[in-house]
Amino acid sequence: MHMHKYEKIWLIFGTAALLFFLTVLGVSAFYMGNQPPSCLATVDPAKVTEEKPFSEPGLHKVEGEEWDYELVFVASAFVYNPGHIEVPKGAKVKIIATTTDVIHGFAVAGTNINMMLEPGYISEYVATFNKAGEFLVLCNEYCGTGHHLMNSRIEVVE
Amino acid sequence: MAQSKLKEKTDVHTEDHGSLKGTLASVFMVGFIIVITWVSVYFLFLNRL
Amino acid sequence: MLKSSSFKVDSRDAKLSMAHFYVAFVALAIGGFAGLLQVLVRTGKVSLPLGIDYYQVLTVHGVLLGLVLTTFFIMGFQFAAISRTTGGLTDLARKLGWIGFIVMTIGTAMAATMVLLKEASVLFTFYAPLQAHPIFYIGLTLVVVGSWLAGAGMIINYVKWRKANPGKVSPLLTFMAIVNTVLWIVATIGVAATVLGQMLPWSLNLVDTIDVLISRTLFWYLDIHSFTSGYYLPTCVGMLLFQKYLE
Repeated sequence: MHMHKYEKIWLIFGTAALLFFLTVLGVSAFYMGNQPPSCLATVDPAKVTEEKPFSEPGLHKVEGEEWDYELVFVASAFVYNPGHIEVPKGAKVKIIATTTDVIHGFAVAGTNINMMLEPGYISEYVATFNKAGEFLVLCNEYCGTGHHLMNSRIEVVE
Repeated sequence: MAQSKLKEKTDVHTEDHGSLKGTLASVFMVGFIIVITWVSVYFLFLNRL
Repeated sequence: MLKSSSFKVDSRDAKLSMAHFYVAFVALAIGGFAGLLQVLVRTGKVSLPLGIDYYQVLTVHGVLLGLVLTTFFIMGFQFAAISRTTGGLTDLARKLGWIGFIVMTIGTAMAATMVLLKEASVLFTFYAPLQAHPIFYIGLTLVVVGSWLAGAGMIINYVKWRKANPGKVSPLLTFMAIVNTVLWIVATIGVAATVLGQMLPWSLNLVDTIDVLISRTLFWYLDIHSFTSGYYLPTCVGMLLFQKYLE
């Protein structure tokens, strides 16, 4: 197939760039553990708040895991439970969240924490809070008329 | 109209392409922007880990 | 200097094409205006009559620009391109084109009405378990089915052309239109499956729950590129080819 020299150059560059990006992401995901937050655990959305861990939302210290704390959130139409939480600076926290009704987002502005909360599924993300200050938790998936008012706050204290 | 187009297609090897240097430069500029933005966002991601 | 007479499309086919373009550009006008309205309503500068709220305007903006404008433009442009480069549509193709157009327009009207009645403030992604009125889902289904009828007309037309022109290379624009039509049909299978198989029965209360993960996956099987590149690519190729004529 007759191909112009410049076309060959561009195709090689494009393919090489793509391979490079994919490799970096692949290593980051599988070797360094930066996976998407949706773990495949399921839960009955109607009974979410009746069973652990969602019967006790908030911060809990844990032993024997790779992380120091578990932070449990329950989202429902236009409110996060808890609406405000304090976390010690430098803590490695596993955020565990789900929703009782429709799909909500869970994005902590200024961090890498950004996930979907889908009814029937549990989302998890492990994050280290190295910076002190107040972080806004926003719902970034349209959930109805009160969507833009839905938020929570994570305060990282010394 | 469609007839002359068909004839031109089979003659493609003897056709003069015209200079494609400008095209190559343009797409490489786009590629450069893509790479820069990708790397910037990746560093932002690493920064916030 | 180009002679405008050399650019004629068969006038019956032109009518079909233009009908699509009228709807597409009206959708562009309303949807674009809704984009402006969005900003004004969200920042509180304007409050709309009839109690229309921000999320309704958002939905109108997305559905009209992302789904209606694109689909109608694609079909209208493809009919014109195929007619021009194969010497005219067959009667069957034109008939299917008109039936498809009418079905798509009725579907659009149904969906738009539901949005205006506040029964479908679900944005153009209509993710479950946000639920809209069943007529909204039926309306969108008709838009997709109408596009399939139009696509069928184009494919039948192409097959006939191939039979009448054995051994000849297909005109490039027609070939692109047909390939795009096949891509479009494959892409819309996912969205049709989730709307007909999951959302419609659920909104009609025939089933109690809906699997959200499957619904989202099927919806995005559609892939936005199918209806953005679907008109972008043939338009670009068409423009490049017409440029050749102008030299």
